[in-house]
Amino acid sequence: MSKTVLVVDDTAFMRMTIKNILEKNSYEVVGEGADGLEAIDLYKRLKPSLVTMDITMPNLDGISAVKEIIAFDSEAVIIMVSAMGQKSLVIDALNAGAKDFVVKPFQPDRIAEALAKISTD
Amino acid sequence: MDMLAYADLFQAEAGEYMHTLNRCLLSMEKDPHNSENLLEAFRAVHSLKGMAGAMGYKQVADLAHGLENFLEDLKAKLFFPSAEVLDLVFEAVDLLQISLNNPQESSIKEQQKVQRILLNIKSFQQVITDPGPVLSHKPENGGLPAPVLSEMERELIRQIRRRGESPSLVRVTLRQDTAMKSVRSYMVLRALEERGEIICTMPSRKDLDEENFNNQFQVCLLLNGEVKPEQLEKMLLKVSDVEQATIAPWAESDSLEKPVEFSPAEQGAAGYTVSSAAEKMVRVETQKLDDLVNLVGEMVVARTHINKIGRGYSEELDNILDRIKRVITSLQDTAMKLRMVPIKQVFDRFPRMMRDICRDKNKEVRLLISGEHTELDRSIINQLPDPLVHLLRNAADHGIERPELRLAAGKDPVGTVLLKARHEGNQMVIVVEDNGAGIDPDIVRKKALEKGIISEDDAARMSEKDVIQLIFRSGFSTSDQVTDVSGRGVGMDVVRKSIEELHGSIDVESKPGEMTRFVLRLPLTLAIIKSLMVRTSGQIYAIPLELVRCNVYLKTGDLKTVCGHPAVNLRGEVIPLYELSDLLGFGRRKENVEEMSVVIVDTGGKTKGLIVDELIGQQEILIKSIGAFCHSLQGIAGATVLGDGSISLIVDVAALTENGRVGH
Amino acid sequence: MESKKGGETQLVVFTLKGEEFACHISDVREVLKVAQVTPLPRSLDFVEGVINLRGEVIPVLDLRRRFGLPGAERTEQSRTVIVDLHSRPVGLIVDSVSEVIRLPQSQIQETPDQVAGNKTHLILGVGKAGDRLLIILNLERILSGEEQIALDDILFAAREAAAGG
Repeated sequence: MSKTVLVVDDTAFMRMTIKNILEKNSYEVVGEGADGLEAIDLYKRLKPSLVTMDITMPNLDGISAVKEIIAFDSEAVIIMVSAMGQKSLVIDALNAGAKDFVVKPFQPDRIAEALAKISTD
Repeated sequence: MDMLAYADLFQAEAGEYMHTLNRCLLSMEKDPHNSENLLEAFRAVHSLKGMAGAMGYKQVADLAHGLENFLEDLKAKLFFPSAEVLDLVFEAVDLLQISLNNPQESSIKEQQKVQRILLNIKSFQQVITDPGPVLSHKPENGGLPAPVLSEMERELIRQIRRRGESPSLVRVTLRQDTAMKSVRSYMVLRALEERGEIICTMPSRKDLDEENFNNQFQVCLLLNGEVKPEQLEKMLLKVSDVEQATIAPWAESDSLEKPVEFSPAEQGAAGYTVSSAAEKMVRVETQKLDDLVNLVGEMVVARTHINKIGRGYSEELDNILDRIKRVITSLQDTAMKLRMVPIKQVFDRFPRMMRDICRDKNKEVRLLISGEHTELDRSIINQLPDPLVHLLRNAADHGIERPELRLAAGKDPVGTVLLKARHEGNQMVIVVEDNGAGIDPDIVRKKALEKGIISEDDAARMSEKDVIQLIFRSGFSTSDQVTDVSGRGVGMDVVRKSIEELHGSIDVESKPGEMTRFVLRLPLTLAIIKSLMVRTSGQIYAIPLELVRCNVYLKTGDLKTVCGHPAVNLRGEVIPLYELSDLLGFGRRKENVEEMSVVIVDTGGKTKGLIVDELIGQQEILIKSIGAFCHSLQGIAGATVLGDGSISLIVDVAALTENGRVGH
Repeated sequence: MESKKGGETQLVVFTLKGEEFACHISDVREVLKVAQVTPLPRSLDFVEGVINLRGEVIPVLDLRRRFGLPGAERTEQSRTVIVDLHSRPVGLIVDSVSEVIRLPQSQIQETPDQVAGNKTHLILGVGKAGDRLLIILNLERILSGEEQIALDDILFAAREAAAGG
């Protein structure tokens, strides 16, 4: 059975890119969110096995979203998608409970690898 | 005296060190095994001592010295930072703060206090009579710097060995093309810390953090008894970008080995990075920044004016006007950025404050902070501490119940207070929320009646949501007299006023028995905003552009009526329409206009259409406050002076439309 | 004022509906002709609006309406007195500004302590210049509060103060 993923990013382009990569690696993208609030809402409804989360987003940023999702489900597996130069934000996200991060722009295999590493628990 | 010239700088830096110190001590309280906090606290005290010495502030220097010795012993694991010990340290830090506030004076009373605390601290320090065998290897590899194990770290290893345990050496190799190496190494260290105690890293944590390393690093680690090295290796390999991870027993000579792949060239580069980073920063008096921003503001206004007058005469002039415009725009951006500071500055003091309140009031409260990196204009930041202190204090003191009451109510005995900051459009939103007893609307209603703030009629008519807003009314609670009647409301009118002075707003929501949430909305900057200028009732008004979605021209026939209110269907979305002049209290316009100019605005999650007489265009405006009498003004966020000297009022769309046409 | 006993006080004298009022010159920034006022929507009814005073936006009040009278027609004599209230400027529209007068402290009768029911807190005292009675207003009280004030209350308080001395 394929793993379910929630993709969160405020740009439709990034969501599409990530979705393509994931689907090629036989993950099932069950939801897409454009900001932190949507992410929280979708997570609660869909209970995906994995989440990819952008950091800077309108309405509610990715880090706050991680905090809320972790508060709701401490086992949530969230991977941050960060731009270069967001070092301290990534650390905040990790401390908030994110499991890993990838840096934009990334090679497709990187994100798949990160997901594979993390989901072989 | 010459030194006096440095007093301000000293105070500014000392303030930062005190923050660091408090923060580290708080972390130590939570996690006494984390040596990182200790090291940072140690560095802060050490720097303070040096600075105070240079300034000739003897008492500060002495106290810092005492603390430094104490932290050094902690570092050497001579004793454990128990809650008792940390209480003493906090007391010493408080004294240090008092001395800092008045560094020139040193009263005998305080000196005695200092002596007493230092003595108390000393009494915890067990004298170590046997320093153990000292490692006295000399570097043998021809001048290459040996990995820097400080005396402290060596002592630590000695202690461990004496306990019959032995540390391990973890070597980690990251992929060559790893992005954000510093964060990867952080993840590795974090994973290691969960399974053991990190004694030191090579290169140092600072170099790891600044990415002054190639792709390998080593960690001297004391593994928890039950963790097997193979397990740890496997776990490290699971961290993305970790190519190799090996764990071996620590040999004495490891501390003398050449650090991994640390080529001389790179070291040189790293050295330069550090020194040039220091040169890139400069401290500036804030008054100068304010002057700069004001001047730039005036220039923006003048530019708008000259653009109006000068455009269209000659191509050459137009080109120059364009160039001036570009330059001024970037100048303005830069000037504004200079004044933006992370709200962390304000938030940093709260964990310590909460701890003290909890001690004092016998409460157990967890303070969760998020968004501390959100940036805000300095002039606003400076006004924030007082209201936030008030809200947090109230949350801990009046909001969160005593542990036994919480248990009885089936809640976690430890209460939670959330402090969150985030940007929302051109606003900063700060939320202070507690999961305490909430505000009882019945009690608020009763008290407001007693105080004559509302009439019986009002009391019967008002919704619960409206009733709890009464806590912000002046006269609801008298200054600082502690009253737990409302579960809140001590001096809330003062909080409201100070937020409104910043052109901000404050709202409260509460669920009795569950939570209370205060939401503060503040402008990011008080200086310049982009606005859409419109004319209505013969006056020009400014609508902040961030709120404007688009402009449309509507025919009378496009209008619909939804629930008795005019509205328009715009691409499938039904948007209620308001006449701006009506909202402002100048009455409705004549109905016989064929075409209407409508500004579609998004505010507070709702979309609304404002009918105006004329759309004039976009403009950058310098926000000015209106001054006295206007605090009670609803619907006007400020004013600006236009190029011709006339005044245009800035419309506060949210407030105007929220209250509908209640007005006056 | 106590400390200045024996000295002199300078007052700016202005008129409203034929009565003479005054305030201390130290509270007055300047006196202007009535300029164009930008109306301030949804504000208290005696708030006339705001004006641009050399780049600063300051509120202007109609003192007649503050005292419960209908606003007067603007005339050549109408003036805006810019006063400092808590070190922020506020403009007051008055019928005319007649003079700046020096009065010996002995000619100034301070207001007795407030007696219940009257409005003596609204005035600082009365000044006697020959047979003229100058009512020295307590601007801070008058401008800060939202209480209803009637001109008759002030005139009554002034007569009380004058008689008390």
